[in-house]
Amino acid sequence: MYQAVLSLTTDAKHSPETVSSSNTLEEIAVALKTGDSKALEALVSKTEKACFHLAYSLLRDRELSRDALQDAYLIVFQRAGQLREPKALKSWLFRIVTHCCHDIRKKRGFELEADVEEKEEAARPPVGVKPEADPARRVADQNRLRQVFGQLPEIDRTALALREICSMSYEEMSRTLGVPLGTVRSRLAKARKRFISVYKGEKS
Amino acid sequence: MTEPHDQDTFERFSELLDQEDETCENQGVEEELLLGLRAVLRDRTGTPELPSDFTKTMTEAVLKRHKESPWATRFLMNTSPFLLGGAGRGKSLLSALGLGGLLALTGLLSFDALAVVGSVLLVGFVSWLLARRRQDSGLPSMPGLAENSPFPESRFHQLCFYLVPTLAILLSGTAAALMFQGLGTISYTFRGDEAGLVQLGVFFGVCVVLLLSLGWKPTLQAYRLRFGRSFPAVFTLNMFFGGWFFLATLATLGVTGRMSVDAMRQHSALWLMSLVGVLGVLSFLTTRLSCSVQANVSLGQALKRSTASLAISFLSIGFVLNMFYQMHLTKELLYPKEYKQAIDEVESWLADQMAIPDSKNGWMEVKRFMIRDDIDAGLGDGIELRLGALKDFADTDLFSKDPTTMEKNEELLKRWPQAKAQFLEELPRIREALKKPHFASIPTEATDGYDFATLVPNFILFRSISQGLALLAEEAFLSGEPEQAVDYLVLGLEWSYRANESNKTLIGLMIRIAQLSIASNPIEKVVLRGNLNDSQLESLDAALAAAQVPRMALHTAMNHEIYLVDKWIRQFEDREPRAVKEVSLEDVPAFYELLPDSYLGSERKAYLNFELSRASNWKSLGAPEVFGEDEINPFNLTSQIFVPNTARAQAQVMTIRSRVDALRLVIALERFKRKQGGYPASLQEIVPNYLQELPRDTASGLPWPRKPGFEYTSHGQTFQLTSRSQVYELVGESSRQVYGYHGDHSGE
Repeated sequence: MYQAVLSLTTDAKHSPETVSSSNTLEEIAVALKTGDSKALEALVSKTEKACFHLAYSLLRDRELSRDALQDAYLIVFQRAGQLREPKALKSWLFRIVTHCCHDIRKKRGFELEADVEEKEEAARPPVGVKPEADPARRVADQNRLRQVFGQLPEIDRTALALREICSMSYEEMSRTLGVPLGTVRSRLAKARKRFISVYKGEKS
Repeated sequence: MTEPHDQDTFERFSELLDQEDETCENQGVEEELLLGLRAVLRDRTGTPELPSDFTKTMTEAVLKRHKESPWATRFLMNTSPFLLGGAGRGKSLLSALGLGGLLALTGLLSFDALAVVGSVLLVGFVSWLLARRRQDSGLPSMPGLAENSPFPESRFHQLCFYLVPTLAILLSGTAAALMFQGLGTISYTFRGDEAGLVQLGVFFGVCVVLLLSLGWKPTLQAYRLRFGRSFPAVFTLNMFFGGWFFLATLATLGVTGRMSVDAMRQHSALWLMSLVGVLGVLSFLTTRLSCSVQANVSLGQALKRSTASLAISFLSIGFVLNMFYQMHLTKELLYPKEYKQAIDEVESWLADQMAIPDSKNGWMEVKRFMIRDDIDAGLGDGIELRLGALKDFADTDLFSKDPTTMEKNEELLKRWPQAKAQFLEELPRIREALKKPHFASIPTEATDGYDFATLVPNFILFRSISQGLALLAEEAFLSGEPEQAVDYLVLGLEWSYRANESNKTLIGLMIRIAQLSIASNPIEKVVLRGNLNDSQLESLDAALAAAQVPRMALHTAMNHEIYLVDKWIRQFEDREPRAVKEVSLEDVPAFYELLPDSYLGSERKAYLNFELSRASNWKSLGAPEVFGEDEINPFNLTSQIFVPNTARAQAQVMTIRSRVDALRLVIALERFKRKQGGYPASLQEIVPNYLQELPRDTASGLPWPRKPGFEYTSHGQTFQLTSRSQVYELVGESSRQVYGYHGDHSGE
């Protein structure tokens, strides 16, 4: 009986109607709740870039970002049944990715360094930042910004990541974080303020 | 840009940033920093490109890991409550099993120990699970409490989420247990209103269920948010809660049974008020503290639910208080003098009986007569009697008009000649015994009235003698020997009340009534058709008057009964070796061992109040207050089993008294006819020459002062005497009893 229950709930299955990346995230979420492996593939295909960018921004390491994504997708696949609102799949996924990245950072226990590729790419001036005369100084500034961002508490990093990396609106963030709009505003403000103070403290 | 000094200013500044307002640009160093951070974070140029087969390889890797994970983990991760997520892994599961085993073992050793250990372990287990939850188990730690709603949550909220519901369950179990006890106590107080008690029980049951539901619903909702709505998940969840509730109730039953026994007796209403109030507050706290981790439950909803919960609580409190004051306090408190007088009377009687030394081989000193169907020599120096075949006549109604009984009697009467011969040989001994001052045929212990194994058979043997005498009278009447018939009838009437005169228990009275009923059966026929002379009629009347059940007999018997039941329950409650061997422990279901002492205390008090109130009413022999089998409140289980059917006993006393009075009226009317040549037009004419005063019809359901006389109609040479009462139905007879001519007991 136990096995029967297990097979009903956890084993990967194929639903009669195949889900693909052309389906909406809501449709994919519904299929995922049934344990459909095709739905997982569709989900990965549809969200991998955004998720990888989020993970990479937080971890600055390609392999670790992959690992974080793998962990996150596994959790989503195993716990899709717990997702009450299919609409919330995207925000739920981003949040899990954020958590997985945080876990990886915690497990590593040391500061992450940008990989070689990133260091090379970082030579180009990022949009919105005043060009520095010295390219080496410019790269150093960008690295410092990332480093300070990495030092922020998780609550701040998550808020900033959802806003700046995932370009979420306040409403989306409110749904993702499960907090009122006002709290989203104040949380972002606090995160930015803390970023400034940490940055200044580091400079001093 | 202006330096953002306070939070509000910085929030506005932050909002402008998010609106990508141009005025934010070129404002200052901090603005530059934040814009720089945005640029760095948004810059995808630094993010490596994903390989083309990323989707496929990622999907395969995830599915592989999913399949490789242990089945228990897969099952528990997806379907079980979050609390068990840790328990499903390796050592945790073993620990949980060990814990269960320990609880079971403790329960086998001692129920109270189980209660204490269970409560401690319960809290410990939850704490352990909480600590365990955070530990790394190879998989990434869980992403917060509820993936799709709350974030972030403080540790305080997390603690509330897990601990408050657990405490709620524990306290709910306590409350339910205490309410159960309180119900028992209250049922005592309001014993006079059985219908109200049932309603009270149902009301409390509904209250408990509603309160628990209101308290748990938000918590269950919160859990459901996390664990989805799949059948296995919800099923497991409900089983989980059910298990906790069961354990908690068991544990608290044992603990509170010890703690609150005295308090509950004296302050039942207060306790209930407090409990219901606590439960209401608990519902509010549970709702309030867990609503922060729910997506759909707001503070407003929490308040609404808690208000409803409290409203129900106060309703129940009001209901209890109203009942309490309407029904007054216990009879024990209400009539302290009467209570003490009754108990003193019985104790004095019992002390006299118990003072008889054991040197009499366990038989009472007052014994002058001994009935045994198989005489065991050396039991004492009483008069012994061999009943022989007559004992087969003991347990039937020879005058019954029921077809089945009549058929059985026909078979039985075939053995009458043999039994009669043996009985006639013993008859002189019965006459000799009746000259003695006292009778008794039962061991001392049994006089307390509950050793049915020895008591009832003796009474049944008593009854067989009544049957024999009635049969002899019937035979003498049919063979035209009215004088002989009257002799047997008088002997039968005397036997009916003297054989039990030293036994004042209820069962003693009942057997007396049974004997009187048998002995009086042939009387009407013999009087109306036996051509008896005046002295014979007079002697029959005198015998009937002597055999009549006194008005206070039932009251006295019930006082004895109350005392003995009280004594028994108290001894059982104290778990002490009992001096009185009324009911052996083997007779008591093991279930009662599990009941808290206060419950038995409640039983005892309920019985006292209920029966004492009845005994008071029996002074006037009003109608039984309650009819049918539901006279004992279903919540008073012990009383329900051991307390006699007193409503039926009351009905039996009322009807037999009515019958004896009616027969005495019939005799008086017959004597009047012998002198005057016809029956009187009115009953008043027989007073005082033939009867000292006209009797009231005791069978009437009205209280004594308002009981009417018998209905009488005369046609000169015939008459009818009628008694009407619903009480007759309680003893299996028609509600209309007619004496005289053309009646059920017609002399025709």
